[in-house]
Amino acid sequence: MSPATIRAILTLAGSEVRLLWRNRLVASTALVIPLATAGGYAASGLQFGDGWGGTVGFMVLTMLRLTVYMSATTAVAARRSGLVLKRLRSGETPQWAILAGMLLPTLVLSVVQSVLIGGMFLAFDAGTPEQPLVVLGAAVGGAAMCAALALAAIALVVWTALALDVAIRTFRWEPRAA
Amino acid sequence: MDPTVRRGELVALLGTNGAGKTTTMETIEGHRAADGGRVSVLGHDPWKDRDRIRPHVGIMLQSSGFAGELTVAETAKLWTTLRSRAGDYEGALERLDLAHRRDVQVKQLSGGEQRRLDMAIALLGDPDVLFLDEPSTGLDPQSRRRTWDVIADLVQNGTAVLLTTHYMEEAEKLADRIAILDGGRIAVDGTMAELVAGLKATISFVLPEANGPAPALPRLAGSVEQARGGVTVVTTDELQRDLAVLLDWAERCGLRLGRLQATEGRLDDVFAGVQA
Repeated sequence: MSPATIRAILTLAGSEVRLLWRNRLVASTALVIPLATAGGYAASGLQFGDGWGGTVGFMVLTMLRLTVYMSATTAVAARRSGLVLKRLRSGETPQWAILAGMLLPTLVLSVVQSVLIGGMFLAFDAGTPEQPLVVLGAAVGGAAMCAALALAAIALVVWTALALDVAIRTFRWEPRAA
Repeated sequence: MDPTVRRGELVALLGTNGAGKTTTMETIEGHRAADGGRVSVLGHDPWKDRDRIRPHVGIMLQSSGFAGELTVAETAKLWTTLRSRAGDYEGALERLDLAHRRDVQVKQLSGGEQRRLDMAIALLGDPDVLFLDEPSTGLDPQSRRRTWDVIADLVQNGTAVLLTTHYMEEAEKLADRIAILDGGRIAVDGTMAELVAGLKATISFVLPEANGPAPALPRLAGSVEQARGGVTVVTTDELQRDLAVLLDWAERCGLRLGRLQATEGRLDDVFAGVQA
């Protein structure tokens, strides 16, 4: 990867952070709601499955679908329908680098939030995971998978609203009957 | 078609809606592969050698967008960073009369201002080749003239410009050569003088109100018709001679000809001829 491409990705990522910050709805979906939900669960002591692991895993998955999948779907679909992507493609930056720059902030954010969620549960006496690297790897892999799914949804779906609908349906969580 | 554009030259691509202007433009820009034939920009295939060409090229698409929540300056700065030939974005904004709007979010700009921002971004890095797809659509007359001045200045400084437009006046004013597309093919191609050569010129005027019958017109080489609004139209191959005769006659009769206009053959007529 050339230095110019790396600079382009970082520049686009910086611009996405600015846009995320200025769009209160997307910012709250990506930042506040996942942490608040995880904080609520951690404080209440509610557990899924046999222990804290299931609860933390569920919280990270919730965060990934909100922070990565929903945010990425919303951002890329909006850029495409607003012809921003088309304009960017008329420049020197390769298309993969444009998408990488757009998705980079949400991916970084999701890893930070995974750590924060883990820390939150730790603070409420959930204990530490036996294999922390595996947990971190799962969070990073989950983030990458959500980003890939978001791009796939965008590639298959033309309209922003429909892409969001696909996003919601893909991750609809229905608890198994007891 | 063979619309070659040389350094310091502006070629205007005209055509009706759906004639293929934007498809042609996008193929030359490297946004789509050519179905056939060969496209060469700065000696390279724009589709295959995109990476080599793009640093030297400025593109203004017919329709495109920018993130609405970024300000004008943030948008221009972002694009400056994305270009390998870094340019002075403040200068580009100044050039397109957007410097006073630098801190305004793009979504708050008018349609014309957004077009000017689009053009300012196309100019970043002083490209050797500039593709302008309907650059003045949606601009008010003052902004359009300013845009024309900027384009003329670029051409004078050696930039090769390929421009599409629906405005005949724009093509007449700016283009060194004009190509008119019809059904995906170039129907007519040449300089303005070549295109209008052989077309009849027109002289039009309104005779002043008179108490008695109007004096008979002098003998002219061209044909005379009465148009709406009391306008007399002379269509002629001998513009200079007929105009001289007409003015001499008006002087002798003590008449002041209203709304007097004398024009050589116009691009509108060439365009209409292609469509017919």
